[in-house]
Amino acid sequence: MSDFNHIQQLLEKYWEGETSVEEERQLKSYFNFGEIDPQHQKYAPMFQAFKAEQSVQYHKRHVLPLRPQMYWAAAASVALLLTAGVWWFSAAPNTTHQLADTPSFKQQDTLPTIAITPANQHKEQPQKSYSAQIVKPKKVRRPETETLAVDPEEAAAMAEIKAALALVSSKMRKGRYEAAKGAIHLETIDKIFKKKEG
Amino acid sequence: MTRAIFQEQIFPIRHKLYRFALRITGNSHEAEDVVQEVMEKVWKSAPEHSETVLNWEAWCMTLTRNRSLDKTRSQNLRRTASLDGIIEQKTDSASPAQMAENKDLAARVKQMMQELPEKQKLVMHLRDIEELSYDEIAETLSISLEQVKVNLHRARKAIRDRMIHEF
Repeated sequence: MSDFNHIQQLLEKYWEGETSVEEERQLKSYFNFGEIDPQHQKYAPMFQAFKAEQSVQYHKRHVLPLRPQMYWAAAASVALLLTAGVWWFSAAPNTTHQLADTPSFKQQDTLPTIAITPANQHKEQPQKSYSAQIVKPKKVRRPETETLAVDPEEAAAMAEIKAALALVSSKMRKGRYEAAKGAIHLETIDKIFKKKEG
Repeated sequence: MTRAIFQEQIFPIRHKLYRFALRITGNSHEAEDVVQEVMEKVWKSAPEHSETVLNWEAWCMTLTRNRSLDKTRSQNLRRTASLDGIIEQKTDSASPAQMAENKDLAARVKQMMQELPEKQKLVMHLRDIEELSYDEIAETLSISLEQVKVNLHRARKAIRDRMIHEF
């Protein structure tokens, strides 16, 4: 009964706008988690709505933009990266020359040369495709002072690229041929239908 | 705005700002946009500004209110709030039927609050949901303490009268 009176007093203060935040919390607790007196039941939905709404949360993730002062930092970072990139690329050829002068490179006195030939020119490969072949030439003695003109790995990579391009090219040609064949086939069918209609 | 202030004082009140924006706009997407815009504005504010603001929460609430009202007015949105995620209850002793009824009644109370005059609605929200002091409400809404009390009294009385008649 004392609880009832206490809540009743709080409610009267509440309607007048005279309750403290703490007293209002007591009311919310009573109407949400307590044994509600039947006389108070009609006010319960209001306090339950308050409590429920307090649990509504903001779930969107924020992507905060750069602030003006941060644009300078970003610009400085980009400039630094660009400078480092230019320095690195300009330094790279020197490194190659230095490598070429090293004994291990000087000892290699032969170089593979590349010849790309249509494969159908060879009797053992009759199908229409192109392939790259690395033909090893006769050993040639090079002067000690001469630097390497082509890196063997680069040459091999180049050969593979050329072979791949040749293959793509042949496939495209084959595709065009197939398309033309299909068109002729359609024309023939069309003629047959026209004849039948006629 | 320093990162420390943003993380310690602004980011934690995002839910409060969202609920306030939702109360005014009545639309969860618009409320989200408002919070995003307010957060951006605060984040971009000049560092010198940090020294002049005494109450970040009140300042953010004011920004949220203004932005929400702008959005509502510009799009002529005078609709009632959606009830997304609002009514999830409770109680230990209530039967499923009673719980369903409570949920329905709570939704109707929310609707009644939404239909109050603008000032009454905002004062009641800030007090009964966000539990702000009268001073904080006055600062947020840029009204006098007396107006806060009068609007709160009228809002609660209006809701009570409707509950007595309709429930």
